Amino acid sequence: MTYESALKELQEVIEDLRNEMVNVDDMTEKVKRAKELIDFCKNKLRNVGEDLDGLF
Amino acid sequence: MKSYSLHELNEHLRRVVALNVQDALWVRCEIAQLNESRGHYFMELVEKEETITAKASAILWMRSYNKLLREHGRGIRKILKEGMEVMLKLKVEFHEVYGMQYYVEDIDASFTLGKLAIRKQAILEAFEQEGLLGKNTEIALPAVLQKIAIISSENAAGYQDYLKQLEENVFGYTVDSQMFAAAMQGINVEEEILFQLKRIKKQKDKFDAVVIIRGGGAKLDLMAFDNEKISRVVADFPLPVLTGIGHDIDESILDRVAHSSLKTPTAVADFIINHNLFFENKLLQMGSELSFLAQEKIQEQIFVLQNIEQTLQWQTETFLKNTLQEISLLENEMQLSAKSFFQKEEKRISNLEAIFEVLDPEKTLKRGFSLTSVDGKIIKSIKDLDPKKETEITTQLSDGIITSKTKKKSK
Repeated sequence: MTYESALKELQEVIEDLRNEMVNVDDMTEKVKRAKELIDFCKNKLRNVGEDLDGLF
Repeated sequence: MKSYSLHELNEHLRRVVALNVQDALWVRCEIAQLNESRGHYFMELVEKEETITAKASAILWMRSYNKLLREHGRGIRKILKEGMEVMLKLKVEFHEVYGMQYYVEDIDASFTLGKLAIRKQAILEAFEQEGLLGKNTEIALPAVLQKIAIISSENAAGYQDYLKQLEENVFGYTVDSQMFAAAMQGINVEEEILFQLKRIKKQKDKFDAVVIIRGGGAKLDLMAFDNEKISRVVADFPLPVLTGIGHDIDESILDRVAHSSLKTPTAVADFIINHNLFFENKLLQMGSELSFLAQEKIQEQIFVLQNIEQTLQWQTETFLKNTLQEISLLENEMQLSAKSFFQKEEKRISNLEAIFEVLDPEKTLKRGFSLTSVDGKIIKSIKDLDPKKETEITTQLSDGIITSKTKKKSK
């Protein structure tokens, strides 16, 4: 998982939400995933838990 | 035959030169070699097209050198270098023992700087033609600059400032910098930087960017960064190159070809931190947009539910109202019908009563009717009687009974 791929995936989630492609149930799933992506990047920026790479 | 002693000859030449070349002259030439000892500078001057067309040695006494320093500042050292095209003010003397000697009395810095500028311009134009000027700049910076290859010299002040600035960033970002030490001053700048650039290129996947920093110190060797070879390699480099050479007046060729050129090493560190901050901000923005969109969606659903709820409520209410209405209607109807039913029944009863009234035997008898019966059985028709025989019949009147016998029967 790189910064670029995380960013790309986040953009896709936003796009889906924007054009109503997501129903409520999927939405909670997607928002949770988005949260994971953001946290991953924030940690990676600060080199926290370098082994986070394996998690995604 | 006439002959002269060597001294006489040299002494004559001294006078000829002293007579004909009294004043010092401005001379354009190139410094082929330059050696300094005890503060004096000994130079080999040449002029050359393809080959050397003129050659001479010249001396710059320490005294004159210090005068030049005072007049032109430390930039003079940048000019007094091998390979430099210079304009020198030379005093020519012929010495009986040392022969022809040129003494440097002054130097025209602008001439050399002009030459340098022209050369630099030429290089820039060549790079322009080859499309090298913007090449490194076109490389898109990765989302985050976290693995940096640094070309600097260990003890360069700039290097320490750069590291400190990175380490003390308030956002807590970590940036790993790997050092590729190279001389940043003196003659082997080119060789060492080229060497390190090559090394970095081999392991380029390990890095997000290259940083070339020097920082501080004399501006004298800025010229080293007008170096064509280094600039060409940087222009063509597969990774973005950031420069922080530490000067503020003119921009070296290296700065022009680099992806981004910053004024100082600290500025390079800031550039990196800000780049990463920009990334994180974008991330957080997306996060908030996402939560906004999610909220919106949830709100939408809530509205939908509320609508349903309301419609439900409204419907149940109306339904109830309707049923109640129906019930009350029914009730009324029932009452009405019940009433009318009773009324009808009452009427019927009273009719019956009336009828009964009318049919009441007593009353009928009273009205003159009578009940005729034979042997206790009421007879209604003359057929009930035996025509031939006299039968005893009893006739009940309102106030008594008559028994009689039948005589005649006629329709």
